[in-house]
Amino acid sequence: MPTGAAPGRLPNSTDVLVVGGGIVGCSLAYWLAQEGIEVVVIDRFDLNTQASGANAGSLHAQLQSSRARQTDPKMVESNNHVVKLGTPAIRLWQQLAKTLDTDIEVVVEGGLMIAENDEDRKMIEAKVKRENALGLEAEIISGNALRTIAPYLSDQALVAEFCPIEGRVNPIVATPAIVLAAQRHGARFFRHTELLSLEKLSDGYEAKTVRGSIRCKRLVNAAGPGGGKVAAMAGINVPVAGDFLHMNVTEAVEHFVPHLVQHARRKLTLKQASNGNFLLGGGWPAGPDPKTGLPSVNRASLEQNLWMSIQVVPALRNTRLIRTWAGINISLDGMPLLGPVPGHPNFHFALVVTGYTLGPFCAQLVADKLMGRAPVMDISPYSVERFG
Amino acid sequence: MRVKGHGINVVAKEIDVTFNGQVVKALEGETVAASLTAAGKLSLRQTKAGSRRGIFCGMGVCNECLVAINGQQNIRACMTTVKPGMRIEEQTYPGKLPGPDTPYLAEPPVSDPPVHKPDVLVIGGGPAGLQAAKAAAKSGCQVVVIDERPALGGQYFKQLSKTHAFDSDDSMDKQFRAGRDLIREVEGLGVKIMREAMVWGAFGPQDIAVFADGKSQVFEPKQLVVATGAYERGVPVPGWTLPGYMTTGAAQTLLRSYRVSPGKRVILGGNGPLNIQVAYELTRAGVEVVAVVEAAPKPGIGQAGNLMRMAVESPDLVRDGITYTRTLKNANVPILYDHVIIEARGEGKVETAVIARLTPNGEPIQGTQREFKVDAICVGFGFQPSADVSRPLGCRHHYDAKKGTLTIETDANCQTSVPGVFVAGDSGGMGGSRAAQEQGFIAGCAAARGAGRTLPSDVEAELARRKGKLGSHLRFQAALWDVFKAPRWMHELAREDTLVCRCEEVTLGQINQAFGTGIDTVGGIKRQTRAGMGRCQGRYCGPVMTHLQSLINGQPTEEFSFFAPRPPIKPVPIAALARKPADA
Repeated sequence: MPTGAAPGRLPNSTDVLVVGGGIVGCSLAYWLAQEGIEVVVIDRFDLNTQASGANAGSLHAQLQSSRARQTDPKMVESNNHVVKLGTPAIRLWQQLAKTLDTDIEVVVEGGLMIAENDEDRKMIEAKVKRENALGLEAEIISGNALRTIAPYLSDQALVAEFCPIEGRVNPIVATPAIVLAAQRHGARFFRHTELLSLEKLSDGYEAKTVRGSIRCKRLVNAAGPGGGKVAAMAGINVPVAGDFLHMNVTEAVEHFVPHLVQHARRKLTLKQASNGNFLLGGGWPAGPDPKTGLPSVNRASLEQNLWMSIQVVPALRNTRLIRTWAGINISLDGMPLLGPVPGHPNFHFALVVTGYTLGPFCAQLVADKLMGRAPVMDISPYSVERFG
Repeated sequence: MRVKGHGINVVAKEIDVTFNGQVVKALEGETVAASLTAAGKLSLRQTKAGSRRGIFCGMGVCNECLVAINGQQNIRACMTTVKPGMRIEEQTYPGKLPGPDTPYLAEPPVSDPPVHKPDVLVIGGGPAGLQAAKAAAKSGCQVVVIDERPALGGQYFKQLSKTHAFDSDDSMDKQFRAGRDLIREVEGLGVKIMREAMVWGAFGPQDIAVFADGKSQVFEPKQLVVATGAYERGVPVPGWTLPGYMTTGAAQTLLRSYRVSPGKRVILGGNGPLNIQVAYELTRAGVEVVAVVEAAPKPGIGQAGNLMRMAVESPDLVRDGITYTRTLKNANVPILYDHVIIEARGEGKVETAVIARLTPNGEPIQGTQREFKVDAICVGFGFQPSADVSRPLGCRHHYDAKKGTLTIETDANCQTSVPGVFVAGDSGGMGGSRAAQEQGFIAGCAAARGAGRTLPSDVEAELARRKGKLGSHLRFQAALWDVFKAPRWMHELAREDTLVCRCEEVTLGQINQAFGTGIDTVGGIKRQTRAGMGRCQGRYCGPVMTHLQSLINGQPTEEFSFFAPRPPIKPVPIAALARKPADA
């Protein structure tokens, strides 16, 4: 039996306290604990529940179509910075898949963005040029070449952007596997331990939680959509919000779609999981339940997402819907928020948009900084300083 | 096997279908499940892990009896009517991708889903739903009843299928007759009845999504009566997934509606009067019943008070009970009180049932095991109210620790905490078919009033009469279940390698191990193990896992301890639900 059962009492102190037990906080604990650094992770719910546990595990590298259409120079720059993270982030997932002792279902067969008209074709052509310039491998394919690699597409799919590094991972398997690995290196995890307040000390923070207080030398805010609230406790204001998103799941069928499929105009992310089920989403909104404030499913999103799915992959008409869920996505200004905070020497951010794909890699960048090493890439563009 | 006699004759045409390429004789109009069971074909599908499954619930919720028909995949044999020439095949996992000649499961609609706005929508055409429809229709409401089965009646009033006919009314037992009369009455009142219609989503009291006629339809009723009944509790024991191990309710449907026995040598077990009734019905039909295994102690002198109370409240039902037990005695069918079926064994199907005597605390006693060679095991451990519709609507429920069920909160008019939503019958807590009818009528009247109608005097009079009788029925039920008081098992009869989640094939050991990592919510266990992610939507494993969760975290079980209710309520073809975005 794994040793994961959280010890009942929160320790009095730790070197690093991570607030948030999603993919970012858990992989951060893994990177730090591996290097012998004392780390405690707290979460107000169970681990891997919110944005991390309730996402569909797409490994995204290319720009989403709605982002590619943004023209505001600030957003263009943000989006460029995000594109740079995709490839190393997915490579890291491939490496994790080899080192962790569980099959976390990392499959990298490439992603397709489908264009059905001339305007969309032009958009993806320009996008490929831009992404190539940023170091992302991607190409335009059409005609027989497209039918050969993706015979499942409808005839309306004229042309597509193919991005070979894209794929999928299973979040409900991967995060627990990372937690287990982190625990083996001494990281400690406390569930149902909501942070109530932070007191700044000369050499760190005292964090008050529903399960007692803990002092830390360094505090990392990896609280995802709750990250704004945690920052505010330290007197730092950042514009963090959460978007509720809808997902549809079909029954399992034999494998016939190896790719992560997106659409150049409309909201769609479509892929077939290792079990054979299709996960259908792409940013369709879900509502917060008026009573509980928790994510709840809405009918219009459910229906329109299914329409999009069968338009692109007609054979999905052979399948049934068996589950739906409503998840939450962190929304910032389009870019992760990483690293130290000027004027708050012991406070660090690890808030990641497109969180599941970029989570372990962004956590590694933050971990390097915490260990006084130079991260593999410059993280200054992702600093809180951009908010002034 | 098919049973004969008792003034019931086959009237349907015999047709040929194939199962795995072999010709099977079927009766036109019966379910595929009935045809295959009659032919002794119990193993219908293969799971991901390669084991075999067959009919379990017999009522469309468990999704175990899946077969492929004419190339289409994952079709519930128990809910599908057999047609001449059908090519039925064992379902593989995952489903195959059918070739271009196989029609899709559904086509996307060309326009937005049709919207119906009746005064009263009744979900479920069993005793409660039919009475609700009757009361509302008699009060001048436009009423629609939707039911998933091809015929009305629900589980209690399920009727003989059109494959057979009684040679005269005298051949009908009173359960058939009362059901037939009620169905006729409701049909005569101008109630719109939609059969083979399935609620797939309850997005709001005025936003009920239904799959019928191959398409999605939306109901925006003024008032809603939920009468969705109950399903059998899932009690995992080693071997409970073997083909031939099914609920007593499933066996009764095969027998009463289709004149098919689940096997040639049958054992029944669990807890409660239904097992004895079905043993009686099987025995009368000439099936060899080897025993009825009842967890409760034999009613003795200590039960005199309860038996007296039952005789006062419903003397006819007590007489029925005496008939059942006497018939079983005369046929040398033992009722083994203080016993439970602890295991089913067999290679790919049920071959042996293992029973054991129980201690007063409900623990099987080592060394008391006995084995019976059988080809079917029918098990009923009582029921779970179906909260499929009431939970997503946000109606308040509470956990009834004594019964081990999530129970809706309603007032004297069967009104839930959500205005305009009524719950009647067993979906509101198990009160039996008579209480269900009174509650249905009460709910129908309240819904009619809610829709702005004034009750006619005869309806008022019937309402008063039924309100008066409801207490008596509930007292009868309370006394009955006191007589049948037995241990309420959740996971206790399972071994570490016994599947708790049948769909995703997750064992008790795997669930315990996940709890051992510190996860202490069923939602967390679901994500970690996939238990509850399958086609049945966690109906059978959910209560067991919720119980384990309360043992582990020491917190009392309450409404939010259970899996979050999410659509679809049952699997539904995605193309039927697809809706073109306005700007597309």
